[in-house]
Amino acid sequence: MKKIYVILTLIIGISLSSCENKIIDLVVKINDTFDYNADNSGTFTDSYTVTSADILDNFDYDVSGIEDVNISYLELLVQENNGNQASRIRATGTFLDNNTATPIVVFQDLEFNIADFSSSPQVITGYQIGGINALADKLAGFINATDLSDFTLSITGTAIDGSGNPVPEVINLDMSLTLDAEVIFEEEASLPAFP
Amino acid sequence: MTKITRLFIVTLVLAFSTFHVGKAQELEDFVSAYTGENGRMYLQPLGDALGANLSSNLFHSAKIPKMKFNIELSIATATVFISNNQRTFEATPDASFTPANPSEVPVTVPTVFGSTQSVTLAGEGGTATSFPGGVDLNAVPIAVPQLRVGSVFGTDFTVRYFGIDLGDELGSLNLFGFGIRHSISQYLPDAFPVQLAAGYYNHSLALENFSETSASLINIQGSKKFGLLMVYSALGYESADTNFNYTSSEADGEVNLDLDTSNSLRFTLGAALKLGPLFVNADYNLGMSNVVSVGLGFSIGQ
Repeated sequence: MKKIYVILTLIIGISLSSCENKIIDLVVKINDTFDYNADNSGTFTDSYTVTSADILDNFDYDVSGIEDVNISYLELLVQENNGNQASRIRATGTFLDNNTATPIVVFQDLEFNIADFSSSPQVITGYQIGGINALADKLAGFINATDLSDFTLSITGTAIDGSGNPVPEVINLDMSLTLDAEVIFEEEASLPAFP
Repeated sequence: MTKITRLFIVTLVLAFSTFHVGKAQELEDFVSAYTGENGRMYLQPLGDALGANLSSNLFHSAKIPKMKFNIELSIATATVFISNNQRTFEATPDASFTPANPSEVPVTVPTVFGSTQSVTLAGEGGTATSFPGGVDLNAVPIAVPQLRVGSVFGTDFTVRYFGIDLGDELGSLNLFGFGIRHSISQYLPDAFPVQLAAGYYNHSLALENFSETSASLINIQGSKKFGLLMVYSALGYESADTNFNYTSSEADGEVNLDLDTSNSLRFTLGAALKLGPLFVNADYNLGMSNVVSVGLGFSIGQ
């Protein structure tokens, strides 16, 4: 009986056997948050230096065949500290590859009410294509291990009134900038082929 | 074991000799970008296919002796065909993503059985979001060992079992199924032209660290013998439920997706050829998915 069972299994197995190699596009998310503190009167600038470890420590995937890296969105969460007088901010974010000397704008003139950004992260608007692409290229360099030098994400802001005019108010805020990116990579898999 | 083609193992769980492993790929990589409704729709066709396959090729004759020892051992194969509408779904990007052209949302993207090519949606200011490709399969076969033993008071029992250890990452793969049939013909006049039986079947297919599928089928079976040929048919009601557990790179944690396959009627029509103790059968099933079944085996005592 056992022999018959094995023979039947082999017959069916052989009849179904046919494989082909396929290249499949897969997508893996990167989601990291960077913290800032704004403490000044009227204007502020704060920077966060992002290392390859910041990105790769939470990236547990074998992605040797990277096709592309997307920046999907940035989000900002703002918390008021004691002494803060500002209620509305105009902010600009810049990317600086620490191998170069020229910052590139990632988002520009984002105007928001602090109260609107204090309960949950809010999507940033005013993306600038040059900065978004530079950021994506840098992340690709990290993942491909072709460029592991740090980069800096800076936020510069101004306290403004309801009409957008600068006001000399004390700014004392903690901010969290969340970067959501995707890595698209190719994987080869041997999969069944059917006529 | 090094990494293996995990998805392939899930889709062809028991067709153990049908493939060869190419470059390794973790199953979770296929779905890690997905959570919520997108994840459910990406994987739903896989749940449907597994459920349909498990509820196939469970009988090839409705004749059940009233009180007689009989045993049947077979390899039951079933192949579900993936329709075009099971190869794509309408995905909605993350709410925080701002599409460059809102009219492009929702976007048509591959399911797990769809095109291998990812789909990218352009966003404002150079942002973008992508949806993963699938494995580009037109059909999913399985093959399972099946034992049927009877009969007591016109009742017989069917068991399916398969188990394999796939290593630490995936854990074990186990299939267990059982069924019970009861002869209706024993209550009918001998002159009744066809054999009739009622059956109930339940299956569980579990990939320890990733998924569990349960499928059930209740049906009325009929058959009529013409010489060496047995023609059989059934009308039944089937349902399936698949639960996937995986770690999402988006949700930063475990994702649990519970996929219910819509209950549906299943119609089966097939034929079996019996040569001494050996038999071969084939049937076609119309139901939640269309399935072709082929079986080979031998029986004693019928």
